[in-house]
Order: sequence, then C-alpha cells, then structure tokens
Amino acid sequence: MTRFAHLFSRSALTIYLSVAAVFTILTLLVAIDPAMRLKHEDADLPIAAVDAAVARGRIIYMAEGCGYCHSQLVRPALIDTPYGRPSRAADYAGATPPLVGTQRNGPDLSAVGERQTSHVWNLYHLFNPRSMVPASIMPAYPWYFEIVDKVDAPAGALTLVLDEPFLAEGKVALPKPEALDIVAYLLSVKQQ
Amino acid sequence: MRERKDHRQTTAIVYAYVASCAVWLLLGSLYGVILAWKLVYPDALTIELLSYGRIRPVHTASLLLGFLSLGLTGLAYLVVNRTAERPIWSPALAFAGLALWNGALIAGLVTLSLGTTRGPIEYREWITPVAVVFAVGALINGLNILLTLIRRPVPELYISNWFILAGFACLPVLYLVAYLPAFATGSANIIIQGYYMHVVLGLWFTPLILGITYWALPILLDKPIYSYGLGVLAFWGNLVFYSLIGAHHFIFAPTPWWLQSTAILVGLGMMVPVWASTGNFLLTMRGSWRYIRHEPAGWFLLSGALMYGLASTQGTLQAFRPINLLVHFTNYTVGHAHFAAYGFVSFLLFGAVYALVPRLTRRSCPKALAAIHFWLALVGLALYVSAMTIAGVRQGLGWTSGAAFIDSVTAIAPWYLLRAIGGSLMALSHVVFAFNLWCMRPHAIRAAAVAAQRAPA
Ligand code: HEM
Ligand code: HEM
Repeated sequence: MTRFAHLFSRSALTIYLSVAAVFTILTLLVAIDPAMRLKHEDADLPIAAVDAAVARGRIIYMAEGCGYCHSQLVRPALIDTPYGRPSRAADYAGATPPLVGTQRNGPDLSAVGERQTSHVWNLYHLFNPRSMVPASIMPAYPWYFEIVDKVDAPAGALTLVLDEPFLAEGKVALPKPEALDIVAYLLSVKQQ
Repeated sequence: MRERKDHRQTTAIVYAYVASCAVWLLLGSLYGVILAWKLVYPDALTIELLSYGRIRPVHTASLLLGFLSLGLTGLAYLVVNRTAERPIWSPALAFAGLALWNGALIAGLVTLSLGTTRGPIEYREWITPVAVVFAVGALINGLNILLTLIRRPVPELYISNWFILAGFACLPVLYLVAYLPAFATGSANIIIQGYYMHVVLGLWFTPLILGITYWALPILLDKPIYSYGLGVLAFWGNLVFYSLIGAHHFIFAPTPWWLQSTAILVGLGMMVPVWASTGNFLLTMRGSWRYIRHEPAGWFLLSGALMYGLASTQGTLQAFRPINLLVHFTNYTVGHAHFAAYGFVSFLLFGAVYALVPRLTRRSCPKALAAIHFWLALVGLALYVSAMTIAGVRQGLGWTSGAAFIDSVTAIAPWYLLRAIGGSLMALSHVVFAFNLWCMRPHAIRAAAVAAQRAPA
C-alpha cells in the first residue's frame, strides 16, 4: 500500500491475537478486577429478606421496563436531594441486576416507598398515571386490572372508581394479583 | 468460470446481509417512532406488547445488534474479499452467521415483547440462550473473516482489515464478560454495565465502520487514503482508550472514584484517534469536492465523518463531572446516543452502501432517491438532536433549581414533539433507503423473479 505498511504487521493472525490480548488485559484492569473487588467488599453486606410478593413485583418492574425511565441511583449532589440520601453499594446488595438506570423520563425511585406510601394511590397511578398526575407521560397498565360493571364488583374488594376518560360509565377496575405485587415492590423500595 | 462463481457468492453474501440489515432498520425505526410519539401521547396504543418499557429494548436491539451489526458485517465481508483478493473462506459459514443472528434477533424481539428480560441493563437485556446464539454467530463470522485474510495471496494487510479484525476479536470477549453470572448481582454489575455499554459501541460498531470507511472512501473517490500512518495511530488509540472509558456512564455511582476519574481523563485521549480518523477522511476528500457535491454517497460519508468527530467530542465533554451532573439522566444523553449511533455510524454505513453496493451488483438507484434519503435523514436527525439537547439542558436546570419533577416534564413537552417529528422523518428516510436497496439488487434476484413470473402457475 505505502511504505508505512512495512512498519507494521502483515499477519492477520497477529493482529487478531494482539487485539484480543490487549483488550483482554485492559478488560481485566478496568472491568473484571474492580468488579471482583466490589463483589468481595459487598460479600459481608446484609441482604434483606425479601417478601414473595415484593420479589414477584420486582420481576414485573423489570418485565415492563420501568427502569428505562426511572433510575434508582441518587448522586451525592444537590440536584439529587429530592430523591433521598446518596446511594451506597449496600443499597444494591443481592440485587440481580441492580436497577440503577440511565434515564429519568420519570423521577428517581430509590426511596419511592418512603415518598408515596399509599397503596391506593399507587394502584390508581399504575392503572393510569394521569388519574393522579394530569401532566404525567408515564404509560398506563390496564392489563393488570380487570374492568367490570360496578354492580358485579365483589363486595369488600378493593375497586378503583374513576370517571371518563379513564373508565367508561358504570365500570370499575379490580386490581389483578400482579398489580398488588408491583405495588408491594414499590412500597418496599426504601433507603435504610 | 470459477471466478464468476466466487463473484456471485460474494455478491449473494453481501446483499443478503445488507438486505437483512434494512429489514431490521425498518422494524427498529417503527419501534422508535412509536416510542417517540408515546412520550407525546402517552395514552396512544396502550397495548401490552407495545408498551413503552417493553419495546424500548426492542428498538435498541433491532437497531444496534440488528441493523448495524448486519450491515457492517455484510460490508466487512466485501472489504475483506476485495482487499485480500480472494473469495470468502466459507460462504456457508457466512450464511450460517446470518441465520444465527437473524434467529437471535427474532427470538430477542419476541422474548422482550413478552417481558422476558434480564432487566434494564442496556443492550444486554436478552436472556442468555438468545445471547448465546448471537455470540456463536459473531464467532463464526469472525473466524470466517480471519481465515479469509490469513490465506490471502497479496502481501499487504490493508488497514481496513485491522479494524475489522479488531471488532471481531473484541466482541466475543466483551459479550462473555457482559453475561458472566459472577457479576450479575450487586454493585459489581454497575461496573460491568458501564464497560459493556461503552465497549460495544467503541470496539464493535466503531472499528467496523471505520474499517469499512477506510475502504469505501478511496473506492468512491478513486484515490488512496490520505495517510496510512494516521490510520494506524487511530487503530491503536481506539483500541487502548476505548477499552478504558466505560465507567463514565455511571459517574457518582458507588463504584471506585479512581475508575470514574480514569474514564473521564482517558476520554480526552480519545480525541486523538477520533480526530485522526475524521481528519484522515476529510483530507482524503480534499480536492474531490466537485465530485462529492454531485454524489449522495459522498454526502453521507462527509457528514458521517464530521459527526464522528463532533459526537465524540460531545461525549468527551459530557463525561466531566460538572457537566455530567447537569445532563446525566436527561434527554441530552439520548441526543448524544443518536448523534453518534446515527449521525456517525449509520451515516457512514449508508454512504458505504451507496458507494460499494452498486459497484458490486452493477445496478444503482436513482440519484434523486438517494438524495431524498439523505435530506430526510439529515433534517430528521438535526431536529432530533437539537430537540433532545435543549430538552436535556432544560431538565438539568429545572432539577437543579429544585422545582417539582413534573414541571420539567411539562416544560419539555414541545421538545418531545419536535423529536417525534424529526424521528418520523428519519424513519421515512429509511423507507426510501429500503427502496433504493431494492433497486440495487443483484441480477440473480432479478433473474429469479423473472423466472418465477414466467413459470406456469
Ligand atoms: C470519544 C468518544 C465518546 C465519548 C468520550 C463518549 C462519552 C459518553 C458518555 C460520557 C456517555 C454517558 C452520558 C451519561 O449517561 O451521562 C455516553 C453515552 C452514550 N454514548 Fe457516547 N461517547 C463517545 C462516542 C460515542 C460513539 C462513537 C457512540 C456510538 C457509536 C456513542 C454512543 C453512546 C450511547 C448510545 C450512549 C447512551 C448510553 C446509554 O445510557 O444507554 N458514543 N457517551
Ligand atoms: C428512526 C427513528 C428513531 C426514533 C424515532 C428513535 C427514537 C428513540 C426513542 C424515543 C428512544 C428512547 C429515549 C428515552 O429513553 O427517553 C430511543 C433510544 C435509543 N435509540 Fe433511537 N430512534 C430512532 C432511530 C435510532 C437509530 C437508527 C439508532 C441506532 C443506530 C437508535 C439508537 C438508539 C439508542 C442507542 C437508544 C438508547 C439511548 C440511551 O440510552 O440514551 N435509534 N430512540
């Protein structure tokens, strides 16, 4: 090609293997080794016992991709003070994976269980966020509810009563078990 | 005779990859448009399988792992074949790789839509079995390319091949680390996530598209690359620096401070390889402006080269703590993501397709349609990136001022709308691209189509 080409390798295998070697060494330095150390340090952290409903709720939180809009990482800076104290490694102990996130289309949820403590508020908000926060852009999750005629709703059951446009005239929404699990999870997200 | 068969096979491989890439581009764009409009009309399409959080990973997987990986690999096969001056080592393996990747992408689309995921860990949400299929495809393609290059009759190993080999050498290591169960839990996972998220961009997509551009540009302009030495500098700089900067995705997270600081500082070092390549491309174009002015392939390559330098500079700056504090978690990052993954990688990819595929199939598309593709994409991207950049700064300032969270949501509503419009233009441009690609189809496909028509029903 040019005279420069003679200064460097002409062997495809050499290039391939040297790249693999350099990259593996750097990976050890900035990924594997620091991750091992953190893992080691975290090994002594207490892992809170998790309620079955909370565990199920967390799986639904992941399945619905809530973490693409809600972070769970509070930075040690003024801008993050509304969300709680700065996050620590201990907050993520036992979490597979930690739900830190990279976006806040919605607010951080690191301590949502301390902020929104109402079970009922959370159910209405899940059914349709705009029933509680008119300007919200969060999706609605009606598939975790059963919509029935008001007269058919079992007596004593928790029912959501909403006007148009959220529910048609004469209808109410009954939370399915999944809705209760998600709310159980949200209420459990606290910073000790 | 043999030569014609080799040519037919290479053409079939390259075109099959590029055609698949266009399908994933259309699909991923459709998902992107749905996402963007959902943030404007949150009650639109309230269907489980199209819920925002379900389809966001489908959007990124279709476009990054699908569109980009397939398009880049298809063109990489072409570059390797031409520079090594020999047929692809095993066409069968190339098709096997294509089938595995498409299979993984379809399985990934289905599982993620159903909510089967490893969690919101970006670009590695696919459950392990799906990821394994994708990884095997990557290994097969890497091996095929390596063997083609090892057994080449020409003494030189053109610089493009260095980059392509590097991408295929890094991907398996990277993918393995990303899926190691040992780091799935706890804060260690944050380190791995930052590392993976960055390296997949910097040492998979970036080296492949650079390698392809180091070949496509000289072919288009019919002259050698400006400097081989700059290319080699960019090569090693890219490899060493890109490996080290993943931690800048989680600045202020409970991961080691030294790791974050190293990442931020090494980001400055990235300016060397980045501007070495951008400069190299621009200096190669110098003196050919008159030709480029009339050639949409040249427009794509020119804008892609410029956006490579600009988006990377933006990336370097946003890692610094005072800036990161303001714009991290905001739409500013979404702007950067599209500026880089679209403005840089995808634009160069489009340019390379328009430069190389017609020379391969000896069929081109109407120049006006390529021009329409370019302008729709560029205007769409400009609206997208400026809307998200302004929105991001507005969010950061709003949060700093201590106003209620919902105030920043209301304040950026017009910018979400503008992004949805820009994004829709981008998606529209991809329909034009798909049509153009159809115009460039190889004769074999046309012959088959004609034969099928003639055959008695
Ligand atoms: C020198 C080069 C680059 C540097 C220093 C850089 C830096 C950064 C930083 C610091 C972030 C995190 C921002 C935040 O979350 O606050 C980021 C995000 C991102 N960058 Fe870059 N960038 C560079 C080049 C690129 C390139 C070439 C691409 C695409 C091929 C790219 C694609 C992305 C994407 C997709 C994200 C969003 C990741 C996510 O949160 O999901 N960047 N970049
Ligand atoms: C066709 C038009 C497109 C539209 C309308 C669109 C729209 C979107 C939207 C709405 C998001 C979610 C942002 C959020 O979380 O708030 C997103 C994320 C993303 N898109 Fe696109 N997109 C398009 C094309 C592309 C292309 C072509 C690529 C790659 C080649 C791409 C790569 C990404 C990436 C990497 C992310 C994650 C960004 C981050 O984490 O910061 N998109 N896109």
